Amino acid sequence: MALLQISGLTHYFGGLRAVYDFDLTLDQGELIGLIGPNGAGKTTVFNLITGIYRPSEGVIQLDGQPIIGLQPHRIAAQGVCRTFQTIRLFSDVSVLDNVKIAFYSQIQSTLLESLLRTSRSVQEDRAFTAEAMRLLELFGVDGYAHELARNLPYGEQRRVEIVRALATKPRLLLLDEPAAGMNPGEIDHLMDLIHYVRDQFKLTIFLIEHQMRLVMRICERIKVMDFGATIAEGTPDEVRNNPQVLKAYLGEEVEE
Amino acid sequence: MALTQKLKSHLASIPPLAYILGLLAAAVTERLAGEPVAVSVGLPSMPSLFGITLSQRSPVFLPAAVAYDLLMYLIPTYVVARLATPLVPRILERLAKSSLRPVYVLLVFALLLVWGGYHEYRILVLSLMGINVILAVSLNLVNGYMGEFSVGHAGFMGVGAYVASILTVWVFPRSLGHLMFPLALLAGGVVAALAGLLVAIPSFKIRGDYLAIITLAVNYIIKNGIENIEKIGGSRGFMGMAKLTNIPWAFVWSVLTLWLIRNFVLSPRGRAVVAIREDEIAAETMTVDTRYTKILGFCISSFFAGIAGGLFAHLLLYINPSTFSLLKSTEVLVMVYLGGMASISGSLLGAVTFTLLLELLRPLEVWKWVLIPLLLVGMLLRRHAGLMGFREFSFLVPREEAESHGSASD
Amino acid sequence: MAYFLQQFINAVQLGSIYALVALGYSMVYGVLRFINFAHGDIFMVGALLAYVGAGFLLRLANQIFLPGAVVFVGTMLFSMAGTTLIALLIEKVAYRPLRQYRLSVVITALGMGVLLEHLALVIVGPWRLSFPLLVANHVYRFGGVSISTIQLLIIFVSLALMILLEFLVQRTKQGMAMRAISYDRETLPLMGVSVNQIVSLTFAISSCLAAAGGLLYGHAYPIVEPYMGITVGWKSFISAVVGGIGSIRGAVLGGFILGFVEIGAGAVFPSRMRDLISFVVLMTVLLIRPTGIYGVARRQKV
Repeated sequence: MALLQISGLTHYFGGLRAVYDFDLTLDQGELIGLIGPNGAGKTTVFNLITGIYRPSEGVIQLDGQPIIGLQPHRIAAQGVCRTFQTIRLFSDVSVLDNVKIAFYSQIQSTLLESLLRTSRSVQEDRAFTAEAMRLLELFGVDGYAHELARNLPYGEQRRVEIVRALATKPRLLLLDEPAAGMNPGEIDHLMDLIHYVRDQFKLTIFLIEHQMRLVMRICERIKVMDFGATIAEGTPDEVRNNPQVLKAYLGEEVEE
Repeated sequence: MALTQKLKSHLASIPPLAYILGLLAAAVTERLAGEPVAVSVGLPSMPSLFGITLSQRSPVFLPAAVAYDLLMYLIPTYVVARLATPLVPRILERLAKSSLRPVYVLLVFALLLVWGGYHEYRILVLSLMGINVILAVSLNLVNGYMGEFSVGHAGFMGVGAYVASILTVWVFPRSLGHLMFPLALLAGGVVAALAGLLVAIPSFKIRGDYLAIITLAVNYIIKNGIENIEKIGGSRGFMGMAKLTNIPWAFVWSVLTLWLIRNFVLSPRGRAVVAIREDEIAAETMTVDTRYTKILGFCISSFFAGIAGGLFAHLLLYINPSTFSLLKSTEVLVMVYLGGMASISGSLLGAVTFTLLLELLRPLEVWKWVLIPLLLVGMLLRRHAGLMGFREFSFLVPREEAESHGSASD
Repeated sequence: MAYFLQQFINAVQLGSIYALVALGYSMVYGVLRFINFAHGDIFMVGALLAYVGAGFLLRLANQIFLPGAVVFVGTMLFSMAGTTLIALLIEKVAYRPLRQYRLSVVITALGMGVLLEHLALVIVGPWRLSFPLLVANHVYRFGGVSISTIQLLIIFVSLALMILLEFLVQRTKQGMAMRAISYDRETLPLMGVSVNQIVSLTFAISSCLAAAGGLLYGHAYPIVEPYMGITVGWKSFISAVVGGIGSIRGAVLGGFILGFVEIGAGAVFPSRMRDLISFVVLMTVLLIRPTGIYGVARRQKV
């Protein structure tokens, strides 16, 4: 069974059609990309999958179960996590706490135990801290653990965002423009990171990206959107040479 | 200046435990010899609050008041603290690490009882202080930690006040007064928590200024609602309560509130509350159940406001709806902002300072409320998040965190 | 029938005053995204200053001949000037430095309101003053319905001021700047507009309207006292929110809606429930349509 199954996904904002008839089948372990010009509706697709918007039409299934209409946190608890186009860390909170917050769905101790600070709840909190530190260490940002998130340099913030997303123990990771603001060297490093994450954590990855350097080299399959509709789909090579895609990005050729 | 520096460092070298013991000794001596000493320095009788109010009314007493404070407070405290300093390390060795904080709490309790327990006015002030601490800490949970703007806290206080009072006056047998008191307070708290849902549920979809307006509306609806219920006195008020609130009860409940809310804030669900303040959508996406967390935040906050209300009712023995209006909510807001946002220490500090300020400025009567807003603005202009904004005293930070890093504590 | 017409007139009168004060809330919110909780007390200051000004001008009128209209307009201008000065002072000293700190500035506003109330108490004493009538009060009766010159005065002066405001906002450069600020505060200085000046202008206008409201209120309900800012202020605030805070039309509509709700409720329910009903109306509107009737929903980009 496919991990994620989307069919006929359509969404309107008032009179504006943001997404039209979007289909996708994602199998466990795949690394898929979503590209398209600005305003094509890519982030909207992410927002629809994660439950932030409720689609006007269409079906989204996770492991065969429909997830439309569920609260975002329930969808997240079922293993769908994402990062954002603009970094949305909890700025006035320490890096460590940023990650620990993501353990919410894994809390075992009851409210009463937390209020009374029983040894069980303290132990659980220590376990969360240890796990969070382990993840931060994997990505080389454990040194910032007690620093406020907003004080970190941009690249480190991006990494913390990924760590935070991984803390939710996702099965499907949605990355919204992870390479934004990066130079080619950093992008290469990011590619390795994404592969590492996919293999180590047994994830399926669906990413939105503008940087072709990343998308073409890392994605197994690519979908292309423009004005809400899917205009192409296939392997990087197929998409690279697709005339529709070229037209969407570069515009029509002017007749001489 | 070298002299003040030397003085400061000398005073700082005396451990807090020694100071507490010193203060305790001073309180004991005052209890034993306060009245004769006061008369001998020229005061009419033992001053209730360090002679400040007395001096305001009749400035001729100022030198006598200063003399009294020196003889009765400053000198005994310093002397005993100095004597106790060498003993402190030995005492600390004997005590288990985990019982250190409870010992401090007990000592402070003893101090308050000795100093205030025999003096009507001091009982009133200390009880009010306890009540204000509960109000401030509970409001800070919503305004500081959750980042919402609740301006109607007094409404929940009113709910608790009325429910607790109705129970002790009409339902519980009089003879069981103190025994049933906690039950009455808890009942008041629970009903207040339910009232908190009136704000919590709208907060799912509404935030910011509009939610502030809703909290305001809820405050007024509660106030007006009570005014319209003739059975419990309407706008004439309700009375008949026994004076059940005293220093022990006020202290116990405020310590309990501080402890429970501090534990909550340090727990995963407490962190979720902060996440909502920072970025609600990101929090949802990171598996945080924002609806449940909001309900927790608002209802825990209003629960304790209800407890404070019950204590308040059994201290003043008369309540009416206009007590729980926007002015009261504003008072609590001032305490929270003065003390510092998202800081339990700050709310403690703000409540204590504000209560004292209110009492000390009492002779000024109406000018009091001209000065206080000015002080508030002045303070905000210098530190816009309040005195202890986002920071905590080290004794409130849990041991593990204090050991691993000292950056956030003071 | 006559009864309804009578109540209609009463409601319009009350609504006009609420609308005038509500406009102040709305304008300041529109420009600063900030609820000036002290506005109700500014209204009270306006009424107080009108009282003082009226007293002075009436005594003057005993010595030199002054037509009633001059006394009236003179009082209004005096009250407007004084109220504006106070409001601008508060804005400059307390609001402006804290403008970036949303929560701090709102609590400052609450504090300023308390300050004004008690300052009035201190300066004037615990007063309940009866307001002198600056206009000879004739009552016209048409078959069961009575309408007094005072009521007509209130309604017409309010309407005149609202029309003046509409002209100011829609047709002048300053008005355009005020509307622009409410859409985008950051870019405006780049166009050569001083945000501080526009903010001050907005506060000035809202204070003038509140002062006029105070003067008119004094004519309708001749007792003025220090806590009147609370009662009228909150009702006007509800009006502004119901109509859509930030919208001028909303404030006017909200004011009249609340006037009608209050008069209507007063006819059906016991008078002590009037306030309760107004607040319940507020809650209901907020729950159904938080941004009010004319409010623009601000969509947050995810």
